[in-house]
Amino acid sequence: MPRAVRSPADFWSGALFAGFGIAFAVAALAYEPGRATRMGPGFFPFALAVVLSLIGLATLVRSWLRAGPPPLGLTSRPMVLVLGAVVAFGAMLHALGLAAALCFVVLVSASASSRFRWPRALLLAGAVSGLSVLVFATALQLPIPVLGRWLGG
Amino acid sequence: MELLGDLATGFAAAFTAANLLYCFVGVLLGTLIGVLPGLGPNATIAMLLPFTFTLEPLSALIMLAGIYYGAQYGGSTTAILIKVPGEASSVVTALDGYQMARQGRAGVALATAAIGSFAAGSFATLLVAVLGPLLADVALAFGPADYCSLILLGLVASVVLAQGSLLKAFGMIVLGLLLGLVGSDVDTGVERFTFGIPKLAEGIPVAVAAMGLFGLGEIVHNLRDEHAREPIARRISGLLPSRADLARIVGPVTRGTLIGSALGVLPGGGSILASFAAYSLEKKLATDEDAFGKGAIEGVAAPEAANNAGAQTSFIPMLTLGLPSNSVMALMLGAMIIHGIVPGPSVMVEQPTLFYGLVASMWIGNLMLVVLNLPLVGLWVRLLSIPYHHLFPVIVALCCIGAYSLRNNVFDIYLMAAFGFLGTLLVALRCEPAPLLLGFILGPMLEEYLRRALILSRGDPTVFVTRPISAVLLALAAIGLIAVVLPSVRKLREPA
Repeated sequence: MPRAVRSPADFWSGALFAGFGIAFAVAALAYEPGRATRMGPGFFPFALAVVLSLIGLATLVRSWLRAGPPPLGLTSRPMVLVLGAVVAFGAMLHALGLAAALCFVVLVSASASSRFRWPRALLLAGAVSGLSVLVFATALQLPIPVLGRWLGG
Repeated sequence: MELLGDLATGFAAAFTAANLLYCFVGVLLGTLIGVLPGLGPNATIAMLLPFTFTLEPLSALIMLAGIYYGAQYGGSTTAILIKVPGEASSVVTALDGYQMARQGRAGVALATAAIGSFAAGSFATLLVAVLGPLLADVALAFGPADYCSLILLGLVASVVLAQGSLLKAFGMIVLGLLLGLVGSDVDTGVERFTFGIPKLAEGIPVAVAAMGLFGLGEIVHNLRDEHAREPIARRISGLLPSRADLARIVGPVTRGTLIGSALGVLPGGGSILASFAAYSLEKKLATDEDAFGKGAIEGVAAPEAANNAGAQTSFIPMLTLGLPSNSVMALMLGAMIIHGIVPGPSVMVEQPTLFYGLVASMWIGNLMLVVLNLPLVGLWVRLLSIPYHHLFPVIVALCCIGAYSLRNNVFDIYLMAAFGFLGTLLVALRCEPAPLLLGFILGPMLEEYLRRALILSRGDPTVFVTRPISAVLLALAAIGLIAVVLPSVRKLREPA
């Protein structure tokens, strides 16, 4: 980030909008724009992407002109643990099944808290897993594998 | 009286054992999430959406609606008792409500909030029943060009009425519009922005986006600084307001109801804006302005009436025009689409039972909420002692199950995680994610109406200004944009 920027949160928001805008615009070029009488699949997204890029640009310019608060800081630990737990849940659901995947997602996401304690978290994971299997698989009959392929389910 | 007949049909539909149960479950969940800070109606409705597949459409809508207005009741309880607003719409209630509680008038404050909410809810529900059919009739005269302009007006209004940076809010909406276009183009079948992933060709489900943005995003945000919530052991006594108290709240409740009903209909309005507007009006009208912030009962009655009225009337544009006015309504619209209901003015004509049944259930739900919140307030207070570090892993788990169940697909879980990352990023950059969801649901609609309008006009873009309805709507949007850059309006938009 350049030094002259007076509003860091605006600077990065502008960069985000402009980045998304340019990416969408480039991707939209691959689709037929069509004519005004019959808009093709590329017309509307390209127009929107240009607007988004311009908004991003304006936000970037403004970050030089008007002072503003800094961004709230991305704390990486909770983000990695919570989102990582979710991705892991997806990866293990078919192989290990709902019961095991739920225990894992609860334990790992719980460890993102500064108040994480093993015994309590284990208890919580067991309770969530057991109740969810009862409610979603047994009572609501949702087609979720309770025991995965690897566990013979 | 045609209205009475229609309402009778509605009550008959809402009064079945199953629908009463779903209504109760909805308002119970609503109160619960209202009481628990850090879990809002957006995330909850998104989590439950996949599980409403198997329900009747009416039952599903009744339950989801109950969550939204139930949260308005629950949110005030924590605002009053521990000065932590459970919902954004109860922020102003905390100002005077908590002071009343400190003066030993917690019971009166809670009762005032409940009575105000109920009176407002009853009036606003009736308003939905009366205005709905009228607006649907008007909407039948709308052509594609008019719808286009209406959506634009809605998007502009939701930016103008929101708080914070205009530019960023516009950016969020346009980003939402673009993300909404991911998937097969309805007209040509061309797959757009899908990276060749078959699941993306069907589009991004709104519930997945909402769970990621609001559910996971909020959790990561809340974990940034965990602080212990103040435990409250205070016993609540004296629930009944005195005759003098009642006399004092009649005016504020009436005014709050009217403001809330009006602002709820506007796009981007809903309950949050309503409560702020009602509070500032009472403060201006008060003979003793200094009493506000020090436990003025008017400061509890007016915003609580307003936020509940706004919550009910925000259903009007969603049910009659098929256009959501806020992110919760965008999710409700998603629920209707899941059940194969094409949103728009035809819903009123083709499925009157759905409309009037939902309206009737809202009144029943409001009645249930008074009972749930007043005599049982002690129970909710005890719930407050559930620490957040026990709560959020459960929410993460439920989001995972919900995302998978939507289409029985693991890909949606990854998609939700991606939206969680986007949500975390946006919150860190001080961008409010709600407008993104609004744009997300409106993106495909806007493109479709634009396309149809241009086909009908043979490619002539002047159709948007030559059709009277469209011209008026665009003019209103322009006025809104101009007004917001005026210094006097700018000042109003500063956070209260």
